[in-house]
Amino acid sequence: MSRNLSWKIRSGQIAVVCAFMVIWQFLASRTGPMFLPGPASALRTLLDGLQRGWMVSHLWTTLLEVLWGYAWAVGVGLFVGFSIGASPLLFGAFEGPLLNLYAVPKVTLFPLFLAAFKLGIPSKIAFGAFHGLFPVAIYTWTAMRTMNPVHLKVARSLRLGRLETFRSVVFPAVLPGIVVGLRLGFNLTLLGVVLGEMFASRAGMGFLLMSFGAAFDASRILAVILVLFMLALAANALLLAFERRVKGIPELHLRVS
Amino acid sequence: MPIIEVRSLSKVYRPNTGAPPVEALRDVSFSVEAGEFVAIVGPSGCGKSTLLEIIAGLQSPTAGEVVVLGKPVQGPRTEVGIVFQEDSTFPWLSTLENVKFGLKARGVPPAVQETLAKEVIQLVGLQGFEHHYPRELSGGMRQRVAIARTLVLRPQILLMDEPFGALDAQTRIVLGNELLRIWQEIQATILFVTHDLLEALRLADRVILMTRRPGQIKRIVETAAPRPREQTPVASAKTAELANMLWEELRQEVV
Ligand SMILES: Nc1ncnc2c1ncn2[C@@H]1O[C@H](COP(=O)(O)OP(=O)(O)OP(=O)(O)O)[C@@H](O)[C@H]1O
Ligand SMILES: [Mg+2]
Repeated sequence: MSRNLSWKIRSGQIAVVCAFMVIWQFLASRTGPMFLPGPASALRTLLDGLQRGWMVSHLWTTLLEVLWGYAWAVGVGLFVGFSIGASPLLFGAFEGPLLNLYAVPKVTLFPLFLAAFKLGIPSKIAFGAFHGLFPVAIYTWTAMRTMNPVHLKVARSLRLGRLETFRSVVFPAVLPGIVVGLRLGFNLTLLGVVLGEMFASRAGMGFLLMSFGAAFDASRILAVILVLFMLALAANALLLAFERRVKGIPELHLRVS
Repeated sequence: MPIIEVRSLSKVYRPNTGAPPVEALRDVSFSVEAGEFVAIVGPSGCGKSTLLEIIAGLQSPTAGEVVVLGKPVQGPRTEVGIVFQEDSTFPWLSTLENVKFGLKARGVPPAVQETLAKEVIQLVGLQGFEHHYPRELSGGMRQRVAIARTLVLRPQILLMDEPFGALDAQTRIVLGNELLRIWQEIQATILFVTHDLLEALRLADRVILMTRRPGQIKRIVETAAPRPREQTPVASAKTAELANMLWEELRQEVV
């Protein structure tokens, strides 16, 4: 039953991708390759970019920035989230300001990052991290503050120490909430990095997008977009799998039955 | 010397949300002898859970004090185990892991944890569900997991807040009999909150009847039936008479 179901889901997903390709091809044939090259042509350009290397170094730059940016986003996000979640005082002081900051289009602050970190890779890392840390922090403190209070009472009645309470009660209780933040945080880190590259840089996929845009090279633009898509989808699939594993709900039920 | 002494206990909740203060308990005094089984009944919201949590050292009273085993209560103690009214099972742990939780915290060796936990799981009738997670159990089964998690620690004093609340009448009686057996076996002292007058009378040596909020003690009734007892669906004439009397008193408190 479970195998059957997942097979159906898979074929549905493939059907969506196929439909997407067909529509793309259709639009391409209507507008002409100057404006919108078809999927086949975009793929060919993409392979060319990887083989001849005009894309490879930029892809590495972006990957590097995203990974470092995400590491910082997770580290800082968890630290901020746990601190605010654990302390009513910090929560009262910082919840509102941080939510407001999150609501502001962060792109407007990019000049500040540029001024602080200059044109190179660090400013993209910082800008990506700045995007990604918000969901991580917000989901973490929300999970902590919505914890079932009776679980903490159990911990107290068993006289668990602070560290032990955190390790064996608080952490597992908030983990399902945090992993959602981790996934959304990655999406935003990628956004921040590419945005940063698009505005001011000499390397990275965002930079390529801008320079091909200026040169009106539609098929290379599409090739870059395709790679960014695949990067985002792959990371998302990975984090989603992690999330399902942590929450353990659907798979477990299917396996049991 | 009594094992639990509650002396002129009062509790006023002052919510920091700006809501008006709530007086939950007013000048409550009673004592429980070692090995006694005492039931507490009273209308909803009269402060029974509050009382139990203060005795467990999880809340501090506004006035008065509780002395447990000769020492004033200042915080949770290992000699005192509590079963909460609401579902307190950890959803990320299986039945077996839930039951082992307190043992692990006390540093009991894993092999011993396993044996003790399985024994208690058997006792509450959850064998076959050791590896199920709380979301795969019914409400009554989850309650039994929580009871097992506390029982496995063999506390000298057992505070139980409507532990059978989510159980059907038959399982209540079966588990009540089990509880009586365990109580005698481990020679525990039990303070047991329930809404079921007959259950209170059948299980306990004494029944404390509380007034509506702010909770005060209205009356304490000795049940005085011989031990060991076995609960049956139909109460004895004496028990029925006491239940009717308690009901009359309680009815005045339930508006
Ligand atoms: N943490 C709290 N903050 C503020 N008020 C509280 C708190 N806990 C309980 N109260 C109030 O104290 C009163 C007594 O609550 P308690 O839970 O002790 O009643 P109870 O007798 O256990 O009721 P029930 O039989 O419905 O479980 C209630 O009016 C409740 O609103
Ligand atoms: Mg209660």
